[in-house]
Amino acid sequence: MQDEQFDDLIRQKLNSEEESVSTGLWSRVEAELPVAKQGVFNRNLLWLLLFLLIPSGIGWYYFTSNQTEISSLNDNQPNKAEAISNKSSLVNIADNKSEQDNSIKSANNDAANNSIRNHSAKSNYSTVLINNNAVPKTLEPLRVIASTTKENPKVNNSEWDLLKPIQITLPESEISQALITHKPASEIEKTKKGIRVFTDVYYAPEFTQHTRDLGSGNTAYLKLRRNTEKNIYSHSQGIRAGFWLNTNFFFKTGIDIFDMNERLSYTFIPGMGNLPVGMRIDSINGYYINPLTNALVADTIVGSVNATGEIIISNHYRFVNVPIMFGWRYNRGLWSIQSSAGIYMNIYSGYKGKIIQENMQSLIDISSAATPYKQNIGLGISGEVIATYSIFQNIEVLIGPKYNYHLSDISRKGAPIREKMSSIGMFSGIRLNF
Amino acid sequence: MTDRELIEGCIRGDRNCQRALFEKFAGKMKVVCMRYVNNHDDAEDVLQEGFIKVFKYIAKFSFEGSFEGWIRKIMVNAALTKITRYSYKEEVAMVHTNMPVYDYGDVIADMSAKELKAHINALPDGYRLVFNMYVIEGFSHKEIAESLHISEATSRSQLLKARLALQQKLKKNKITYSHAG
Repeated sequence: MQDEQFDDLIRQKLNSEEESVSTGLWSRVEAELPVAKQGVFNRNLLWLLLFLLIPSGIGWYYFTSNQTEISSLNDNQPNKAEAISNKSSLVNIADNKSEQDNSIKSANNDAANNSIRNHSAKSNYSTVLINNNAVPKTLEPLRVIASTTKENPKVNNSEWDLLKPIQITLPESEISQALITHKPASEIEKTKKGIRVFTDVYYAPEFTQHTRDLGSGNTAYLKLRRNTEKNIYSHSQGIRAGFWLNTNFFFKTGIDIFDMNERLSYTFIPGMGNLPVGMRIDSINGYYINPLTNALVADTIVGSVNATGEIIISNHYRFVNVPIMFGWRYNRGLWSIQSSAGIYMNIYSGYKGKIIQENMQSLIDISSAATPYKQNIGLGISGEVIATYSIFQNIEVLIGPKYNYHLSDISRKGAPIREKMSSIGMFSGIRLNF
Repeated sequence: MTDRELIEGCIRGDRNCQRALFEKFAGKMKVVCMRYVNNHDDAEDVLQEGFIKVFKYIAKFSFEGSFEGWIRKIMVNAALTKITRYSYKEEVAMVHTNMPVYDYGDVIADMSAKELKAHINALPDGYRLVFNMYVIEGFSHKEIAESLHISEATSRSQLLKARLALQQKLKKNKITYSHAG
């Protein structure tokens, strides 16, 4: 008989045994334990609020503040038109060229002020976006915890020595192997069969890159679209269900609702059919600039037009996707790092708003049948790295970056320009373990 | 409640989880302690010290491998601390190293756990410690060497001799048992 077989027989015979313990033993152990933490609920609740409400609040702030900006600009249209119209008449009666120029500057003062305000609003938006990018710093505490688990210099030596052979002296792979080798068969079987399920609910502010390339259209149209459309705020939210394939590997799927809001901004000049839409106002001099050539066209406009105004349209894109992801988890105490990757299938694509048509003269409703966008944008790939922290028995908070990339164009085949989309988001949410 | 949930509860200092974990493992761990200290009172002292250390260091458990194995090693180390005054002496008792191949399956199967433990406990201390740590608790020779402050080679040779000594006892017991029957 081999030594290993002999050892196995002994182990099987003795390892299933249990001895009764005296009833007072738990009390003796409990007396030596630190007092149960007070106020755990409040502290954990604070964590939860921080993880969920701050990103949500920032996202909501941007979304709502932008809506206000758009509506206020739209409200100003009649006043601007009236002001410019009145001042155009002043220009017409001026004979001297310099006087005319001064009048033009004066005449466009209101419009310029409005435009400056617009730019100011844009600057604020950019600044906060930059601040928003600082969010990943919340991962830093994890690194601190991970480093202290290696060897804590504050731990009393005599106490630590008892753990030393287990924690330090062997490579982790060897320890795991040794432990698994001697794990009772019943427990191994239980672990294999035990399916643990979890559900994630999350929200993620997203930075979306909506790229436009030349399709069947002309370069002037591509430039116009690039100049007039700006992504202002994106976010995603959803729910996922997952289960553990073994101790460290998991599968998850669910529903992901991705929303992107874009702003279309251009100057509309009625009665100027021979000029392209997309004129913008130079915020310093108040001149009109042709977005295609960047040339000043102030004289032409002022001399011919009797009303103008900046038009801003908010477009909304919604994609509902089903992600299918596999991932791996690394644990350290209450923390874990989970990375996952996979694909997602689009099951719904919806569009609201208007864009400039290829003739650069009029707008097209993107929710209509003539939309240049696909009704289903197909497949994408997705990746996430999430830090989790257990705050209650079955509840963890989640935070970390996520990345989505659409494999195909979101624009239809034959559309004037080709449009693609990818996004980077900051995932935050909660997980319920069942 | 799964082990993971219990562990996470204990890390948070949840008293109910700590108690549940204690109740789940105390019986098994007392058996472990008994292998080293050999009387109930000392075993419970070791169990108490061991569980205090388990709760103190539970956040360092990395969820890799068996949690029971992790507790078991803490208990063994706690037991060794209890008998620290005992300094390990290499056993030099002679054993027959050229024993013929023999099938102990039936012998062990016919024997109660109590009888088997009695045979193991009857081994010289040095043999018993290494045998228990390696065969039953699952320590590696490196871990045994560090815990007992001996060399790995000594651990290996003591295990070999312990195994042979136990086999001799079992074989003798079988013969005695057969003759009596």
